[in-house]
Amino acid sequence: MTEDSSNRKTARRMELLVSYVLRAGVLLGTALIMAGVVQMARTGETGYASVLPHGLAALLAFAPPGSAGHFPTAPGEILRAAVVGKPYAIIELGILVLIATPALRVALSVGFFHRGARSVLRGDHATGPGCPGRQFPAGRWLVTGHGHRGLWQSVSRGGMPVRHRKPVRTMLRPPPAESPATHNLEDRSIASQ
Amino acid sequence: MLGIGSGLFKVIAMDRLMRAPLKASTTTSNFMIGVTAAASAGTYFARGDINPFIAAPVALGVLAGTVIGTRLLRRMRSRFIHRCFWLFW
Repeated sequence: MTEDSSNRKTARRMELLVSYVLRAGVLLGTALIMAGVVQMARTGETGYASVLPHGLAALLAFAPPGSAGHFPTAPGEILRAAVVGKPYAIIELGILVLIATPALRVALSVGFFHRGARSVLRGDHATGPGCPGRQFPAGRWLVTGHGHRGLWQSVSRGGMPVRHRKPVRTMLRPPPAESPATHNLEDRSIASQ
Repeated sequence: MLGIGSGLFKVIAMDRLMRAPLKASTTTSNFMIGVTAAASAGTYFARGDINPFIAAPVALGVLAGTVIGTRLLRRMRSRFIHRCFWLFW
């Protein structure tokens, strides 16, 4: 296996990992929030201030730390309360997971990109096709000039990369060809006429 | 800017000024908003500003809307989305 294709495979695996982390985070967060809502509906309590029977106003009011309606905001505290089964804590845990998911996604891609960028700086692959930074759209945009000038080259030549319409488009899938099935139907109808 | 992440401005800027494709503009703007929102969401959460009673239905509704919206975006034509955006302006 050449170094080129192995680099490409690693990059593909990284992108897949990122997509799995995103999906898992969203699904886990949603499941937790749903579980919390179900639990709240079942028990009729929030787990912190028994305000449910007293109406909506008390639930919607801002509860400063230490007041009767206060719910925990520290991750450890939330986790402990969620294990016990307090509805608000379960919902909050789900919200925490949802907040952490995009942060984790950014951290992952920064780590991957850093790995790629370091090997570019070392001159391992220069900006050839095997350069790991090229595997990510941002990296491709920054470091390469295959068929178009990369951002860096455009800026260093004193021009905004405004008119690079075509290369951006080529990153997208080409428009789907008309399905042959409809063609066949039309042909047949014409033939029958 | 308006409490909505100013996606309307971002999409117009990317589409008109940077000449990016429309679907790429909308999804990139969405991603940018997500990253900046995630940064501030942690602070709001720590301050106790996120009320679970409100946040739970909102989160579930937004997630459902995201799933539907993403599927729709893939099927819709760029021209139609273009017109929707210009309707706002």
